[in-house]
Amino acid sequence: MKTSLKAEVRKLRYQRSSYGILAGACAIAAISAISIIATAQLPRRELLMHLTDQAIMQTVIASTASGYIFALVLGIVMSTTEFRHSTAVATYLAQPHRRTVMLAKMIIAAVMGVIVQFLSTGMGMIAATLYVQRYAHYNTPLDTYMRVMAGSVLVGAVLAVMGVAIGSLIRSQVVAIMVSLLWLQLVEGLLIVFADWLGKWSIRGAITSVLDIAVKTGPGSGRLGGSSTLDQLGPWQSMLLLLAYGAVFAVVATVTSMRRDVD
Amino acid sequence: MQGAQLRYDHLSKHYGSTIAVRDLSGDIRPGVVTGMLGPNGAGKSTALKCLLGLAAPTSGSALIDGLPYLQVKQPGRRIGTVLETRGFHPGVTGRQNLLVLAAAIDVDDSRVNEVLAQVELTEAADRRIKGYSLGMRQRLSLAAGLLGDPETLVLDEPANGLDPHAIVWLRTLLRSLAAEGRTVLVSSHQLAEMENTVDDVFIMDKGYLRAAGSMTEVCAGRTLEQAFLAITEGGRL
Repeated sequence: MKTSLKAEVRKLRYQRSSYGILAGACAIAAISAISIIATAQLPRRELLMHLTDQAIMQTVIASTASGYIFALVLGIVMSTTEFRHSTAVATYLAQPHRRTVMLAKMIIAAVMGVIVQFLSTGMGMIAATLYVQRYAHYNTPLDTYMRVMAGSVLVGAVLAVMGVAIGSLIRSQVVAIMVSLLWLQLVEGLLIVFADWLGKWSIRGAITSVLDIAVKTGPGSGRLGGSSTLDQLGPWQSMLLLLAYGAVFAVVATVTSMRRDVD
Repeated sequence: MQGAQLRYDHLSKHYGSTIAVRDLSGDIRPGVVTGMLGPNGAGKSTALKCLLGLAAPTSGSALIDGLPYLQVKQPGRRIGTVLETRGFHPGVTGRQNLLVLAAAIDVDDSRVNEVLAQVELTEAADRRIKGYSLGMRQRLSLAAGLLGDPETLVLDEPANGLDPHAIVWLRTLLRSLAAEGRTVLVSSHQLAEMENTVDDVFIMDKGYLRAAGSMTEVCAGRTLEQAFLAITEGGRL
């Protein structure tokens, strides 16, 4: 296991895509947070009124976790690169116990997911806090930052593991990324908007709940991005749901990889 | 050094309705170079993949010292492989590709420089693979196979892409490795080249093992090409 872990770390170190994904996550986190502030300002110059609303400022802080898509992509790339460039052959010759290879990939992916989310969320928080100072001195409780950061790194770890699993199941990098993004952003996005009783059990529903700190802060504050958050699962339930999703994906991918030939 | 005894025992491998290997049996002994020869589609690569645990046999077995690859201890060090299907990340340098492998099979990083020198690739080691020629990739593949200083080498079409000088170098290398007692199994469709390299042959065609034995026995006074054409009836079998 130790050798497989070391090999996976080296792969990530040497491949430039790892750094690109990290940079993309940081950029998206900062842009998401700033764009919410900027968008809130657009219709009329009532930004200050909006920002004094606890829920909106918390939404801005929660949006700094939006780089989680990149954690998912990182996991997918970790798996699919092996098949795209046929390095899977060398990987499985060096360590024929495929369960060990998958476990090593998932452990490193989880750690990288935490790193990606910690850095991108941190950068987003700094950007949002600095940007909002242009309009008002708004004191968001430290607790808010801490809760979003904790949720963000958990989401990053789980999604990176899911990415590894999806990549080993689908194997085609483009298809795996497209299917994952379409499912998360479109299918589950629509579910959350139009069937929130079902959407709250989806992966994205669980992510929103884990990151959501706007729930029950006051009338009307439970709407984030057009979807209701008032009826979501609690943070702990969502966390368990997300971990369960991660575990199911990990087990299915590992069992499948043990049965498939390597070309 | 004592190489491993490789054994195929009634190995068959089907891909759906296509039968890639049919009832293959035979032993590959250490200390000699064994050639698995046949045209494209003969089942050579599939037989090697079954031996190396990359493909599961439909029936029968392929064993290394009596064990399937999965149960061999430190297989990455004991069995060096040069496979046609083995790839390298094109955006990573040759040296980095080998460093990943060194970590995976638990050999010291200093060994990377040794094998790069052995395959005469030191100067290009820090260039990205996407700038490598086919011959350079093949040399890198050989370096990867030699990285663990393995007692057994399994090579699939190792001469592909090599220039005449490199082919002579490869032949000398394989002969010297076998002379040290290692097991060397080479698959190839280049009969003329293999005639000068191998001691024992397995002749395969359309998934069947058509003949096996020492070069002297199989060729019976003919060239390898003549013997091959006679055994496979010019591919009409």
